[in-house]
Order: sequence, then structure tokens, then C-alpha cells
Amino acid sequence: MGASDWQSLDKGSELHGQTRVMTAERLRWYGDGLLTSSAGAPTEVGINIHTDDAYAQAEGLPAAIADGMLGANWLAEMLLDYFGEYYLTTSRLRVKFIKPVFVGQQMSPRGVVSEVIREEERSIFQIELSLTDEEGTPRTVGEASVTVPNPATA
Amino acid sequence: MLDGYISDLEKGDVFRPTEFEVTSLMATQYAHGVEQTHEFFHSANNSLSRQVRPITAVHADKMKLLDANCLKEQRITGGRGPDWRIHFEHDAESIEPVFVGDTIRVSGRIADRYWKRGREYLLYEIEVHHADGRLLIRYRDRTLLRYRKNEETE
Repeated sequence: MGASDWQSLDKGSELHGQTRVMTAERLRWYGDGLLTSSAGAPTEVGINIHTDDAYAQAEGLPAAIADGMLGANWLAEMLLDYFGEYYLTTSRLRVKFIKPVFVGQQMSPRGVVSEVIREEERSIFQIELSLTDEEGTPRTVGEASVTVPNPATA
Repeated sequence: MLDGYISDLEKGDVFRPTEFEVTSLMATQYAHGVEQTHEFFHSANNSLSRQVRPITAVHADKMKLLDANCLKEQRITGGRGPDWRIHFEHDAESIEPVFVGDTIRVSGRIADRYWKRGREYLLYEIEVHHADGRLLIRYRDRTLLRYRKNEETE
């Protein structure tokens, strides 16, 4: 995939991201990254519903669950792969974490272009998004829009 | 109500804004945490010629805002409240990128607090402005206050 792949997209086009397995290490990496970014200094995540089964069970969950933002970021990565800087400059990403994701589950980011609004100087791509498990069940769903300048005006 | 736990927040509460400079550490460590290797997040050697913070790191801005306004539950430094919350919806509109070196001002409010199917939700509305006044990100975030259902409210 390249940063200009959006030029080949049209209504109905499918987007595919990298399939990953949710691991305990990935949950820690996310926790550390979120807290470090928040604190502005290296910070390690402690025990919580994302890192500790017993803590999660005390909160009524069957086991530790992934932070939804991990999957949201894998969807964002897919948009960045296809749209490059245009995803970073003018876009919207809206996702809902409709089912929990557990360690060991395989997650695949997918998208389908639902509409392309062509204007004189720009095109707005609207994309339906999902993050599905190995059985194809959506665990995160949502939509995105990315605005790109038309080639003549880019 | 501000200055208590997150679960004390009420519809209409307006957060005291927080202002800070976005550092390379904030951008790179969030990106590392979600395995985003695009050069945009790691150096200025990209098509925008400046190092960019991932849009999704607005979630870290929410954490900073909560730490500054919910003094009994400062999670960045390990504090915790009566229950662990569950992130349900992330909705971020990028109007302009957030670059490393930018000073940004994060503001927000509780737009709603409500029950649905036995669970209680908070709806945050947050904005990220550049210090010069430009709006960079408009963010809505929906969070369950606790995973366990309250059967009486179903």
C-alpha cells in the first residue's frame, strides 16, 4: 500500500489493514504509550482491567480486555496507509467498541468506501469501518471521512 | 462536580483547560504503543516536513484534562476511582494536524450523563486549540462509568 492509494478508491472499494493478534504485551505497550503521552515523561501502566485478569474479574469482566483505542489505532493506521498525509490533515474517525476484545483474539481492520463526494477542488471519501475477529464478528465498528484535494489542485 | 472522582462528573460540568507543549516523546511513545511506524510520528522527514502527533492521541489529552479536574482520581500518576471505566466511543475530527513543538490548549465539558440498558454513560465534548487560537481537533468521547449493569435501571 502506498500513500497515494486513495486515487484508486471509489464507491465500493475495500480497504484492508494489517491483521494482528491481541497479546498481553500489546496491551502493556498501549498502556505505557498512553500514560507516557499523557504525562510527558516515561510512565508504566499498572494493574487495571487491561493488564490483569483478577482486576478485570473484580470489575465483572470475564478476563482482561483490550483498550478499545488499540483497535481504533489499527483502523487509523489503515487510513494513513491509504490516504497518507490527508488522513492527518482533514479527517474524522468515529468508532464504537461494541464487543470486548480478549488476549489471543485475531483482529483485522477493514473498510468499505460508502460514498465519494466529488467537489470542484476536493473529494471527500466516506468509509465504513470494522475491526473483526477471526470468525468475522465485528468487535469495533464505525466510519471515517477523509478529504483530499483533487489531483489538479493537489 | 469537578475536583472529585470521574464518577462525580455531572452533565454541564466545564473543565478547567490545560495547556502544554507537545513534545517528541508524547508523539513517539503514543505511536510506539500502537505500533504506528509511519515516519510522520517519528521525525520531520515526511511530506508535511514536521513531526506529527497521532490524531488518536487526543485520548491522552482527555486523560490530562481529567487529571487536572478530577483530583481524587489522577490516573496518570496511578490514582483510581471506585470503578474502572470502559471506553465505548471515540469520535475525533482533525481540522489541522497537531505538530511536535506546538503549544496546545485542551478544553471540554460533560455534554451528557445518562443511563442506557442498565449502564451509565458520560459523554465528553473536548476541543484542542493551538495556542494561537486555531481549532485543531474536535473530539467526542463516550464512556461507561462501570462495566457492571445496574439491573434496577434496565
